[in-house]
Amino acid sequence: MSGELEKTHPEELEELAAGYALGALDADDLARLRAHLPECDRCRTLIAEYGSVVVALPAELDEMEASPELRDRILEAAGAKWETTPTERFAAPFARPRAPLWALPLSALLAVALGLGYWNYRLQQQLAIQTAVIEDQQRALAVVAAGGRQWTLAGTDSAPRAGGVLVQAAGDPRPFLFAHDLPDLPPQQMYQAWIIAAGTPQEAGLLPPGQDGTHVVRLDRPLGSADTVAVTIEPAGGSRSPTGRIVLAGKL
Amino acid sequence: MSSPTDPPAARRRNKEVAPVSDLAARSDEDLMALLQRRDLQALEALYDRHHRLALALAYRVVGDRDSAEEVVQETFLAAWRQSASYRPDRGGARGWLLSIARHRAIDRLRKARGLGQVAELDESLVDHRSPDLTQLVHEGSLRERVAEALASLPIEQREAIELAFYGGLTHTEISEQTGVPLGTVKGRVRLALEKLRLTLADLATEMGGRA
Repeated sequence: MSGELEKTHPEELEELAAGYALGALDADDLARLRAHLPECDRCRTLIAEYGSVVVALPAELDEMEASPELRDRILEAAGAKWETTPTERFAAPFARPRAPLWALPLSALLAVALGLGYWNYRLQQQLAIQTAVIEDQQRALAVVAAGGRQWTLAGTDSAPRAGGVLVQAAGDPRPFLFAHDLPDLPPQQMYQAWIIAAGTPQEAGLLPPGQDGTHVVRLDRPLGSADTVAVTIEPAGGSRSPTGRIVLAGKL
Repeated sequence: MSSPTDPPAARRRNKEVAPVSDLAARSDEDLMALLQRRDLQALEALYDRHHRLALALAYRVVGDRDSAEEVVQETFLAAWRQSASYRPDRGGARGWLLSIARHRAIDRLRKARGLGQVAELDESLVDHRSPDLTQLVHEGSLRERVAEALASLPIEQREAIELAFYGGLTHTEISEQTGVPLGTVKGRVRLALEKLRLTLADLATEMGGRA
């Protein structure tokens, strides 16, 4: 498949790259380009360049003020999903490194400050994500220890060694999902949980990156009248409805 | 009356929490890191900073204010729920939020027109070393230059870009809608994007980026 495009005229490759960046490729062209991209630095670079143009396109629009209720609706919905995290506790790691301005030549000072600042920033970002995951794990273990309700999830043919448990604390409508022995995924994919009622799935959260195939997540929505919980493989960022293979499922 | 989940009420209960105004001075990258830490105030700050353009984009796609507000709501709640999937090495927060808004708006538009979903792009296959103009260039300058660049395109090229970007149409669908041969549509999209790329690359160079 990739060999097919290697013989293609450069202008046609540019057409495919432009269509890809805009999300305008038809399915057959998309499949051809996807097969070709891993082997073609030029096309990947071109798509990135076109992509930076596409991202900038909305800048031409006149901004619109939303109704005041929209802000409240969003914050209330988000606040109902998660507890507020105090900002102050997390503010210190963002402090930029300080250096005596008189001690170094300006160019060296800039290079050191930029390098250290970026390195420090990336480490703190990774730490923030890991800390949130660990907190979820600790809260989930506390629910188990307190004797919360539990349901078992079994791995499907796509992940036969995998398993999982759904645990729910008394008085908390949103359960925790433990999953173990899930196969590692490439960076462009994530596991996504679904709550299914009478055959209708609703997105229930992305599983944060796990360790040794183990993932813990607090589901985004209450179980309500759901009869099934499942986990599928989805593109990074998740999907609005399941598109990938089911790896875990359990009846409630 | 405030509910237990009312964000302002939650802030009042916890004296450790910094006023939102403090977060307003933070960079988008800092706010995204806080969002990944599930900091609700970071979501407020990101909303305050970016919702107007997200709403304008959604409105341009769906053409209805109520639907556009629903798209913005979905966008920021998706950002809240899926913040773990944000990758700073693949572009800025504004571009990420606008991409979610556009995807959701187009999804809604295509559903309303009885069209199938457009496939997700696989970001991992793309080289992301190109400059993110939305981070590099002052908002006012970018707006002016993008508008100029679009206005300088031949009308048929601009139409092709707009049908793809705001209309969510594929090459074939543009061809069917306009009656223009498929090969011509592909060529117009390419030429338009290439001209925009060159114009905006000049801007990035002016601003010190790598074009």
